[in-house]
Amino acid sequence: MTEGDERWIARLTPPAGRDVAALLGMSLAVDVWERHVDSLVVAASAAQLAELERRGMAEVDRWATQGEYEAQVRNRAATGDGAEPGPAGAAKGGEQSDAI
Amino acid sequence: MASLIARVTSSSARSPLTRLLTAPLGLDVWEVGPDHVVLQAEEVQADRLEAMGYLVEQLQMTEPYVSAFATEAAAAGYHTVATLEQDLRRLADGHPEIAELVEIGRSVEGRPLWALRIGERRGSARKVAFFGCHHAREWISVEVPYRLAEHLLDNSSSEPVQGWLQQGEVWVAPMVNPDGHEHTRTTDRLWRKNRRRNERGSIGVDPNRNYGYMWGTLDVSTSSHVPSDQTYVGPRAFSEPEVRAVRDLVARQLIGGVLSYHSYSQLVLYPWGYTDDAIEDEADLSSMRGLAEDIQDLVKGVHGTTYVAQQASQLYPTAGDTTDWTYGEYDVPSLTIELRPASALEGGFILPADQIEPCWEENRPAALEFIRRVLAPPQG
Repeated sequence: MTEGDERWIARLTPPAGRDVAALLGMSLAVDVWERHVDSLVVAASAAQLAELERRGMAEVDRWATQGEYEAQVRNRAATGDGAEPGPAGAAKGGEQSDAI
Repeated sequence: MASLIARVTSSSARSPLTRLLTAPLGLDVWEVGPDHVVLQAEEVQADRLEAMGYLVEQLQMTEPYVSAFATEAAAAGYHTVATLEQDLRRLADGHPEIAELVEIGRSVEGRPLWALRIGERRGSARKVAFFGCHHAREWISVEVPYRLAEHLLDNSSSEPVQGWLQQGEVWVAPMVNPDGHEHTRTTDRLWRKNRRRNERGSIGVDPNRNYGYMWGTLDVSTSSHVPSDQTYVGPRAFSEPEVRAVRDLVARQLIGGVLSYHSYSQLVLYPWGYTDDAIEDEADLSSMRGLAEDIQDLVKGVHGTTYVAQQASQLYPTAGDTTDWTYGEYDVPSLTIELRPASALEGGFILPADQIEPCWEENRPAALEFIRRVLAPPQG
């Protein structure tokens, strides 16, 4: 796997003047996990995220690679630790999350 | 950035072990002994500890350690393809007078797709179906319908279940996508689609975009025509054998109501997914929205967990999903329930096994209410 193929879990925030519905209305080739009022949580390759940023389509907040994310979640499950996976200070709560 | 698990010791007075426990070094301490500390640290942190005078002995890299350890632990409570078949067979064998295990089709890789028919007689007029695991990584969506089947059989001699099973049939297919599920267990825990080999080398069609109502009418991230995308709708409606199996079951049995389990997010979704427009028929809209809101209340009444009832498209646009098809084609009550947890920060698709039982408990009254409504004799 090349560096650009590595999958990341990230938060996408549309640029000023655009909303999340507009972001969802585009073919971005990302795996949408959660929809929030002002952002999406997605899984996407590093190259895809970089392209979104380059084209000014979204602000990208990279949380963790998929491997890191899985390890964090599993570590929490294995240890019974209540600490949340993801970045320090990341907003909690997915009022609109994935999966259909 | 790679992290590792290390055993740290010190023979130097300038670097006492107690300092590791109190200094703001950002270390994740796992074990403290009189002469050592075991901790998890990034490689750069480990280098820094050595520079501070500590002896750092790497025990293992974190990721393989956690994967090996936690996969076993976390997966312990979840079914595999094989154990699900065993358990469904056990349920059917234990209640031969009312339960029958039916192979409704085969997956892309040839695995049988199982549904349990529960009811006193074949060919009842009123039938309801529950589906799980269209999406491979959503393991909890196998467990809730499985436990529903178990509950119905365990309570088949007492009301209200006995009455329902005399009047009608309940069909439960907990794992629509066994190939994908197996792939999540062995290779990629976050795999979503089935295991179709697409043209030009990519793998997988999203089974929950492959149904034939308004199939392919969207081309967005959440319903994509690009084969490598996670929500690839497939080359045509019902191209996938897993989806055809569900189609044929619903069509042959004239199923009167469908509930499809997914995860995550704690939502109760009613059609439409393909458009922001509301269902036109006001009576249908009122009925479906009312049922979704009742389910929301029933879930909350158990453990206080909040599930939110809303139109599916409010989550995001989806063309070709199960419940748009069952409502659009057959005009029957059709809901999708997104199970625990609420967010990626709470585990997302990797729900700890100790949450299976509370998740089932809070969804049990809702599932029973869905059965009651669908199997109830028509009014008037």
